[in-house]
Amino acid sequence: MYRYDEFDSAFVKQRVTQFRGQVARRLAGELSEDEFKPLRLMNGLYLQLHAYMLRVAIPYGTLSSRQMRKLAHIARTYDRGYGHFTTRQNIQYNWPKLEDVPEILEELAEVEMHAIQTSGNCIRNVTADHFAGASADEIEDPRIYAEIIRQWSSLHPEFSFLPRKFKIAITGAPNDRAAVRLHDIGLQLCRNDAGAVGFEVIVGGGQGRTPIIGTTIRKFLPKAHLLSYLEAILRVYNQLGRRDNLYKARIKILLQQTGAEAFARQVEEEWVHLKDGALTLPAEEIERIEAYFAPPAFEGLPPSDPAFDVRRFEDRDFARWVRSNVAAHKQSGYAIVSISLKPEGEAPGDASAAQMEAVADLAEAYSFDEVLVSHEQNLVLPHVKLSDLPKVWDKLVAFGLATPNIGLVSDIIACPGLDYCNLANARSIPVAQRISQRFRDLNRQHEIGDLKIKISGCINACGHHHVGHIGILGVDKKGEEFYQITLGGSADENAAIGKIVGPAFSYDDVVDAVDSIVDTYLGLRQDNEKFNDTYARVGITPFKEKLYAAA
Amino acid sequence: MPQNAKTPKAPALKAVTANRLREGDVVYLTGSGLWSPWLNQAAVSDDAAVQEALLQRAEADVAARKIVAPYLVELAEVDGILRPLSTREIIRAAGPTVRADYRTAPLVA
Repeated sequence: MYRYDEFDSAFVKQRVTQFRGQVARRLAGELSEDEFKPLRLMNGLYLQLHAYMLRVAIPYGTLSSRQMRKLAHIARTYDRGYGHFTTRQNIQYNWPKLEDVPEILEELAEVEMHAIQTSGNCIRNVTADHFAGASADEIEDPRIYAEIIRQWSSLHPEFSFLPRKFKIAITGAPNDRAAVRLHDIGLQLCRNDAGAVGFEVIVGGGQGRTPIIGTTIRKFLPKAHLLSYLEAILRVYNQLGRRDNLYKARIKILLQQTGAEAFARQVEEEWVHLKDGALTLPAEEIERIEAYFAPPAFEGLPPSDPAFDVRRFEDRDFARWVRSNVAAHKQSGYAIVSISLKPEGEAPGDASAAQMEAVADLAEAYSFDEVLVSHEQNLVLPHVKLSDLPKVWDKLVAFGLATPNIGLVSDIIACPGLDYCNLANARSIPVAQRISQRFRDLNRQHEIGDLKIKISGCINACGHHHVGHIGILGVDKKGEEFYQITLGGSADENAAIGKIVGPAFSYDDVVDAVDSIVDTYLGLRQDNEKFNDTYARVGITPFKEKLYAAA
Repeated sequence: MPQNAKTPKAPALKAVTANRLREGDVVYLTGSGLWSPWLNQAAVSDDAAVQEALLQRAEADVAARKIVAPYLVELAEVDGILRPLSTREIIRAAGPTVRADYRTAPLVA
């Protein structure tokens, strides 16, 4: 895991001191709210529907147990005992007091964390595959490059005031778990014909009111040129991206209006001035960062474990959890454990301080001190021995963290929605809660199989509704909450934007509508066909007919 | 002719809401000029001039660093209980609907 060097420590500490002074000046009346607002936003502090909200960056979703314990401590000491893990692999606290925030940032700095660039029109926290360093399908650990990008983009003077916010995601695996086609820049580690490892560069993806799948503007970028090429893209965007219209300011609009080919040419022209310059990554520098992400000291273990097999045979609940929440590891005798933050009836992504501490303890004891946060708002213990799985499960059960629903119908992404957010038009979390209650029969969930429901409370699409197999968008109709449903979206390597199925449903009716869609799917699917495959085969009509038959 | 006779709809009852600067808590301006977490203690009026005066008092408290981001919220009074018209403001007044222990304040104090 990466550890701060002197530069990281210096700028994070400096920022804490600066912000402490800014808060003091605000409270003393030397700064007006108009003057203070941009300063607090640069430190991830929003004023939301009920209170201030602090968004803390979790670089590429990776935490040590010490960091996780600190997040728990902050939740307990300065907030209401819980935190909310987000689709950007960050954590948000919903109730901090302004006067406490400098102290919170000081405590975060102690564990090499901060809230810088979690807001504003800058390069945000770089997200990565939540199975990074553990999955068998990975070419290389994407976090090596996410960290290099973090260092380059942190406090980058030229890119601190872009036309709009800028999100970069990176995956090292062909099975895309990081939604790289739905980011301003997506990077996919790949091999060229000569066998060298580099990046496919995908630009201009995004969700929001204009959902667009990103375009590959370069099939293969050698590692050495990663930063100079990113800088060229950002320069073109910074110069030509629209600043006159908030809704047309993202790079996806620039790319659409310029045309992908012309845009790529502009990037290449800019790159000529940057390539082979100061931003070139020497092999030694890549190796230096790579060393931080070196695989832990795995034991040489057989691919199966008798105790694990016995427990799985004897304990059906354990077996069911293994089926949905445990994934194959690249190392023989190890497994990847996904911890569901979606128990029935709870808010997706919320974790109490006690739960965070339990996960920290488990990571320390059984997963080489490492936890990952997934963009699907769950947690991951990346390196667990098969023989330890029963112990890990027992503790997860005790803390309400063992819901066996990863990838299933109740593993819902939901934005904070109208319960917390100033921008929302409708609630998201209670809809997710009610769907999870409707499908409370876990055996039925397993029978239904992989099904991704994603819910946003407004068109900004923080809940990724465009790319849900079933997407739900909250809208306001004359002061009432309504929900528009889309079908067939996908965030993975087969990225697709869902299609609107028909008129929106009321808050009361939306769960029945989801149930109807699932029923239609189950009635039509052949063998083990996935939802989107059935949908692609039969089209939207059968779903529509059943949904609107009664009306 | 009084102005409201032209419009069929009765003018809306409004109160001023804001957040406490230090803590961030949602508050409502009361008749005595204090800020209360209880909506039912809010000073209300359906007179635009009075509403504007309430907002002016709030702006003075912004300058005095007591509160931030004040604005008028539309209400209805039913059986002596004030209730916001929009879902957003109902949730803002009572807290998130997602878990009982997240609630900030009941609508009725």
